[in-house]
Amino acid sequence: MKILVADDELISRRLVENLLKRAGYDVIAVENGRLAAEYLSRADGPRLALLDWVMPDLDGPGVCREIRNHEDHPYVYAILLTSKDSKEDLVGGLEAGADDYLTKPFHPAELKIRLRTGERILRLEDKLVEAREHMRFQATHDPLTGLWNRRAVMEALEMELRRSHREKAPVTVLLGDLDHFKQINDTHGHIAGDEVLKEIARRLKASVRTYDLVGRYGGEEFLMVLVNCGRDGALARCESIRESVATDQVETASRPIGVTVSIGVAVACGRRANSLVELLHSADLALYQAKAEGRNCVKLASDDFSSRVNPIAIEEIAPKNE
Amino acid sequence: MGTALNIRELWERVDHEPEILRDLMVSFLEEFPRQMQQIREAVARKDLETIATAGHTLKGMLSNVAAEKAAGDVDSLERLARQKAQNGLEKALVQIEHDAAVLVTQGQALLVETKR
Repeated sequence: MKILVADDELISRRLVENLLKRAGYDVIAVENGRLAAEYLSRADGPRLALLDWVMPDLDGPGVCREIRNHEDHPYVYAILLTSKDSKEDLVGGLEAGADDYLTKPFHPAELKIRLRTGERILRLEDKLVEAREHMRFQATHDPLTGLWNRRAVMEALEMELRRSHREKAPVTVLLGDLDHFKQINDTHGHIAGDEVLKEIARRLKASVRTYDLVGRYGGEEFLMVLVNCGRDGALARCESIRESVATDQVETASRPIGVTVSIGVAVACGRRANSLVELLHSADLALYQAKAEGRNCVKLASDDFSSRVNPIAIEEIAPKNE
Repeated sequence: MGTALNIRELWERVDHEPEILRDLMVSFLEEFPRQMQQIREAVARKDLETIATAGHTLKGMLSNVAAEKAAGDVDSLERLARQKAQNGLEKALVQIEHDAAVLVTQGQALLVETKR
């Protein structure tokens, strides 16, 4: 494990460095607090630190304060080394963010046992972060397809709409619905139906850019958000998405199943503040139109989607059947 | 000549590792004269601030090599400087110089011993 030792006094630094190397640590030894803070702020920096209290440029408590300001950085377990032992000093050091302190000179066994405590705490911290991330993923993703769930993708869309208005940049929303999906479930069973949903989710993700959003909106409905993508770009992208679903059959455990998707599209141009509701409503109406006109096609709502989507304003941009 | 280094304690500090002790002594014998020189010059100038900060560093260094008496004598000098006491600095330095001579001799002997 990497450990940082910061001490301006050479003998102390050499002694600790040698003891820790002998104990199997990967030691970075520096002679002042400024360098210590720099190493500890690096993404791959050490997460254990032994910091002398009194150092030039930046003292041990100062280093603690700096690293505690980086809230998004993995936790660093910091031990202050001090020859002082007054209560005030210790309280000040711990208040600055140190986790522990050692009074110099110390016995190697004491040093090692304190570091072991630090490592234990870091392991617990890692487990907590992992559990939190797992829960965050579960709370925002659909368990079957691994896509964003409805709430998460709607929240993301809302943010994108605000950004779109702020930056006067377009956002395109796609509502995709698998055609005759109930029939797939009825004919091939729900397990095959789930396999289809998983595969289609994979294909949808693969057909958009990494920063576009794909979420499961409902049973066999998908909501996609194409960031910074205007009408012309959206048309080509939608057609490629439709194709990615229809071209190859989905291989399931029982047999290959052919699937198609109908897509309703609405573009928020960014010139005015668009509400999430009206944009989705437009995409929904365009989807309805795609279904009505034979499925396996893409329909684009007019720019003026706020004023009820007029069927005349909906353009057909892909063939009904291939 | 008295014992300036607490040898038993020193072995404990280095976890009974001859290589670490040797490295520690080499570093000490290089660094200690430099620190002493800084203290001498600061005392000559009656530069109380430097005496206090250099004294603090030297005291830490001496504690690390288990030179307990010398560390105590440097602590007295550091305290005088922090109390802004001009009198007594030279006298405290004489005591430290005496410690230093014994320390260097013992440190060199220990170095030879750990090389065997």
